[in-house]
Amino acid sequence: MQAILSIFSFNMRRFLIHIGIYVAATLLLMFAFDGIYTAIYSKSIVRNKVQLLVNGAAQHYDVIIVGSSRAENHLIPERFERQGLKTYNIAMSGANLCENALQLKLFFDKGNTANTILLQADTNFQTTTPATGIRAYALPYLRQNEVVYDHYAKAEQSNLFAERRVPFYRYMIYDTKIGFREVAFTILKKQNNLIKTKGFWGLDGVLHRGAPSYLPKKIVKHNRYYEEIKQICKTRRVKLIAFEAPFCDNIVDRGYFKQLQKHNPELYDYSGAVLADSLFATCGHMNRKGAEVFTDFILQTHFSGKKATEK
Amino acid sequence: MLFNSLNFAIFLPVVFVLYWFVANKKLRHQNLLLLAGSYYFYACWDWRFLFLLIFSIGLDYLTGIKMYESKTAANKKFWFWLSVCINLGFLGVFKYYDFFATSFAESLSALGIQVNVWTLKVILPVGISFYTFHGLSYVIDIYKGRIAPERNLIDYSLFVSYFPLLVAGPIERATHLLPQVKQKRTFNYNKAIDGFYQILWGLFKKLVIADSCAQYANSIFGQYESMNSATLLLGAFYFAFQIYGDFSGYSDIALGTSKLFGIDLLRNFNYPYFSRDIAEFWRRWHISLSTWFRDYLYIPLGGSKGGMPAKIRNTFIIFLVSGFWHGANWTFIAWGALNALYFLPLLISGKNRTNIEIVAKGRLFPTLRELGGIIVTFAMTVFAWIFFRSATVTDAFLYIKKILAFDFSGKVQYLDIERYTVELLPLLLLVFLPVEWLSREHEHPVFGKFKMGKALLIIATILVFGAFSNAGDFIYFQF
Repeated sequence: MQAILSIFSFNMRRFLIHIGIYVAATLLLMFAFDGIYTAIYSKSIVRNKVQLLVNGAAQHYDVIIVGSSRAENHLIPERFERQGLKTYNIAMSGANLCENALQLKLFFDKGNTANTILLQADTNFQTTTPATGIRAYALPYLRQNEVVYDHYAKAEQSNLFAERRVPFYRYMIYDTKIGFREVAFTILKKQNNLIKTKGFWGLDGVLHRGAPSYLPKKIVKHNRYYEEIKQICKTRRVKLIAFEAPFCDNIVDRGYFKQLQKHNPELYDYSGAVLADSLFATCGHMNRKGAEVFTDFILQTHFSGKKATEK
Repeated sequence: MLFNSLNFAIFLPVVFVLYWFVANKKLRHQNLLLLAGSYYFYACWDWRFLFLLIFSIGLDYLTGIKMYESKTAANKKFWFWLSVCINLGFLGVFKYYDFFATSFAESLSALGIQVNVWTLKVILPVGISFYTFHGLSYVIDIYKGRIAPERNLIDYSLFVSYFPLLVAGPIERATHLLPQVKQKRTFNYNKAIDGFYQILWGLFKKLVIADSCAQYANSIFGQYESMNSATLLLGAFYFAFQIYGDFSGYSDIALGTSKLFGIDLLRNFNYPYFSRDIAEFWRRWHISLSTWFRDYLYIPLGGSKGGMPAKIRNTFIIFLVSGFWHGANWTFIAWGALNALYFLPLLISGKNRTNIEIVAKGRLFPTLRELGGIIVTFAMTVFAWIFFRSATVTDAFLYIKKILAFDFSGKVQYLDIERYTVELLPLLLLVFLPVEWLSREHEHPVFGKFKMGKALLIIATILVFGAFSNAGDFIYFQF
């Protein structure tokens, strides 16, 4: 060491030692912050649905709703509960089927049980990769929860090593999702409104027709995460009701839904179950009134007499 | 390669180690290494434009020598105008051609004549405005007989393409930078550690202030139609801090980086938001560009000599050209014109050089009069930024019209970035502004006692509050 240092001038040695101290201090800070953030997230259940699944107490549910915003905005647990069906909507806006598969793994791994899984699978079928923004909510648990790690280790990811091994890195690159603000709200136990409504997020406003929306022309016939979800339900002996949620009338290539159903015959095509513009906030998302109509439709179709219908 | 990227975090230590441990024996080796590093740095954006940069360097190098060796004034003039025309020609083609072509077509269209103009649709070579002005100042200085041409091509190339200043300035002068390039650098601990602190502060300004403000400003300017007056005011306020944090942060990183190699660059920012009038603001904002326009445009036009009409004309010219330098858009020209209008009362009353020293020098607090001046100047600046930030002049006017509707009713608005509009205010008002105020007599806040503690606090703040997910290009790269 002395021999190496002797090649540097006194001033350079001073400078390098100084920089070395800052590098070491930065690493220490990163370790410390990582530990603090992870500890805070490992206790919370009030900020998002992933937290609820990882840290919440095990319960039995009659119905669990999974999907993207097109399930989160469309199915109201309160209306299920009026019929005596204990329900939670764990669908997440922006989630792909990849995240939905993880949610169900976490749900059952925690010891929860369910009779029926209601899965919205339509345009989200097209994506076979994780949804970056939603994936971020699971990253605090990457080291301590093997289910999370195993799930993303098998996904198409390039950054997992750094996210798992470099302290605080995950909190830095996803600062808007799991950064300081979120930690502060978690400490303050500021409950997310979604938790109050058992996961339902109602939209306001009415659709004003503009340019039509386009559905995918090329169909992804099979989605590995959809297959994973089917397998989870089969293993757990849970009834899976997979459906295509409503779209407004102003779309091009509505044949997409039938095509998708052709390749996945167990899918229920409810894409046209609600069509009136007044029931939509945007073309792909119904408003509160539309959500009530669609929830009642699902209840009538599948849960009349509190019993899910068979297909 | 961005200053706030992982690539740069690897590139800089590598060049530093090679510079001080391998190439430190000879000046020529030091300069060759910095030049190679600079070309690599530039090629990381788009290697094809490296040829344009090298051509520009070669042109100014040759014309500089030819001018100096010219036996006749006509010959000298020929080489001078050749260099000026080609330099501005490249700038005009890459930066302004599409603007002029489409503006021309739109003007004809307004007269009922439809024409299809051919546009280049090419990306702007990064840093072209900066290195063109660099070269121009060198050529003009030789033409005016202020300096002799540089005969060493490597030294001259390094002067133009030195990587800390290559893509967004500061716009250097041959009289300041070339003498440093021509002298072998020895390692100076104090300069290097000061450079390190300045880099840290630059990163803080970019990652914590600018990139955080960018999220809010982009959201508000992007959907200004649905925002109330209070939100729109906040949007302009956030953009003011975004552009300041972004560009002064970049300049701090550039200056700090250069100090690591023993070279001092011109200071580009000097706490402009603490200016007491708009003239002072322009002496503290983008100083290297302001002084460039002063020395190479304003003074040759006659400067403040001559009558008041000439002074007013010259003032308008430099502000309009300065606006246009920023980009080929009417919004920049409007921004320049507005600043010229702000400047006019000071010019006419002869008070444009009243506030030279930093405000409240040697005191903790400003006087009420000073505070009033700061607030008014800042408000005027924020108003002008609306033009700078808006996509079109029409958007800027609509934005202002919505502010002037004085719609302050309703709750604090929630933005599409899932944040309330006011959430960033505590960081700016309770952290950033007080720290800047207390540091205003220094280049950055890491001075005096407890430097290590201050630096660690900056590092911790960057880690916790840095908007890493929103880390983007520096705004001035597009200019």
